[in-house]
Amino acid sequence: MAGSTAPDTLQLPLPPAALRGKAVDERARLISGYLCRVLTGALDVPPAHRVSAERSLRAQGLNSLTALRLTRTLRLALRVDVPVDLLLTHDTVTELATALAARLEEPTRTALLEEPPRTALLGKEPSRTARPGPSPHLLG
Amino acid sequence: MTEASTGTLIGARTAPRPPAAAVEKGGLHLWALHGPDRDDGPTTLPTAELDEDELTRAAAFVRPLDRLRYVTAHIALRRLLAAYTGVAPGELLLSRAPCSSCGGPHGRPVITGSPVPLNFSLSHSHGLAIIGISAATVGVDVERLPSPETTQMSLPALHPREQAELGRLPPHERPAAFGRLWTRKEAYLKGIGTGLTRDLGADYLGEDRGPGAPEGPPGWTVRNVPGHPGHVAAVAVPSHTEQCGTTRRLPLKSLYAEDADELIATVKERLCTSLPAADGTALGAASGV
Repeated sequence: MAGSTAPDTLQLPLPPAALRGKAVDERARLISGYLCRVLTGALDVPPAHRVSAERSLRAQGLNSLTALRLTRTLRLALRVDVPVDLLLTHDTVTELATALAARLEEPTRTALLEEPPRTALLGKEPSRTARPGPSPHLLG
Repeated sequence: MTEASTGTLIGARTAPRPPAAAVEKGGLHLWALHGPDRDDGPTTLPTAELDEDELTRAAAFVRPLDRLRYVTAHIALRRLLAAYTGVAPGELLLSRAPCSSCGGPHGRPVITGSPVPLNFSLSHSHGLAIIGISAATVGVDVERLPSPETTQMSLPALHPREQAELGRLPPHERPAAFGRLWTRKEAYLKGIGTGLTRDLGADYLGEDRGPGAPEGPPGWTVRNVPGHPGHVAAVAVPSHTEQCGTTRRLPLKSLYAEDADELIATVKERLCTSLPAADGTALGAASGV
C-alpha cells in the first residue's frame, strides 16, 4: 500500500534534461537522493527511519508489485524506460541510481518517452508493446 | 514476490527416508500457511534447517516481522519438501536453475539430489505463504490486495487487452481485478522460469474468454487461488497437469514438531474446493476471490 508520502508527487532535484548534462557520477548521486525519498513513501518506512542507499532493497521491503508501481513513477520523472527487473536485479539504491544514471545517456531510449509528465490516467497511454527496440529484459 | 534460494549444503548427512507424502503423477498440491501477523520476539523456529543463503537473507531484513515471515515461509517450504522427498529439511539442497531468458543464476528454484523428482514454487506476502508442489513445473504468486494507486500506476505495463479490460471495470473493482491478473501473470512468469525479466506486456493473462479475446499462454493453465481474503493468489502449471481441487492448510505445529512429516501427510483440512478440473480451455480463468 502507498505510504504517507505519495512517491509520485516528489520532484527530481533537476529536470531530466539538466540531469543529463551532469557528469554521470553527479547524476547518480542526485538520482540516489531522489530514490531514497521516493522509496521512503513507497516502502512504508517507519517514522524516524530512512531508506538506506546501501542496504538491500528487498530487505527494506521492496517486492514485485511495489517495484512495478515504482517503474511508472521513475519513468514519468526521468523520462526513460524503466523495466521492472531493473529495480529487482539491482540490489541497492546506489546500484539502481547508477543504472538509471547510465540510462539517461541513451537518447534512443529517452526519445521515445515524450509523453506529458504525471498523467498516469487510465487508457491514455500507448501500449508498451508498441515500443520498438529490444525487449527490456535484454537491456539492463 | 519472487523467492531466491541459492545456497547449498555439502552432502546429505542421513539416508533419505521413504517419503511420507506423495504428489500423484501430473498432480499439483497447493499449501497455504497463514501468519505470523506479529513479531513476538525470539522464536523457537528451527532456523538451523535453513541454508547459508537463507540465513543471510533473513538477517538482512530491516523489519523484524519481515524477517520472521521470511524464516517461517522457508522453514515451511523445507518441511513440506522433506515430507515429499524423505530428505531431512536441513539437508535439502536448494538452488536456482539458469534463467530461461538470460541464463543468469535466477531461474526457477530447484532441489538437487532429491530421490523424488519434484518441482516447487514458493510465494509469500504479508503473512500468507503459498507453496505449490508438483512433478511438473509450477509457479505460484501471492500478493496483498493492491491499493488503487498501485493499480493505476501499474496498468501501463500490462498487455493492451489487459489494460482495456481493467479500464472497463468500475474503479472500486479494479484493485482486486488487477491483483488477480498480476498474480496470474507473475505465477506464469515464475512457471516458465523467466520471472519479471520478460516483458510484462508480452503475454495476455486477462479474464476475457469471449469471441475475439486473445489466447492465453499456449500450453499453460493459469488460475487464481481463492479463499484468502485480503490477498490475491494464483498458480500456473503446464496444461497437461491435473488441477488440484484444493489448497491444504499447513498446520503451524508442523513448523516446530519433530514428526512434521506425519503431520503434513495426514492433513485433512482443505481451504477451498473451487479450482475446477483442467479442461485445457479455461486458461487464466479466475475462480472467484
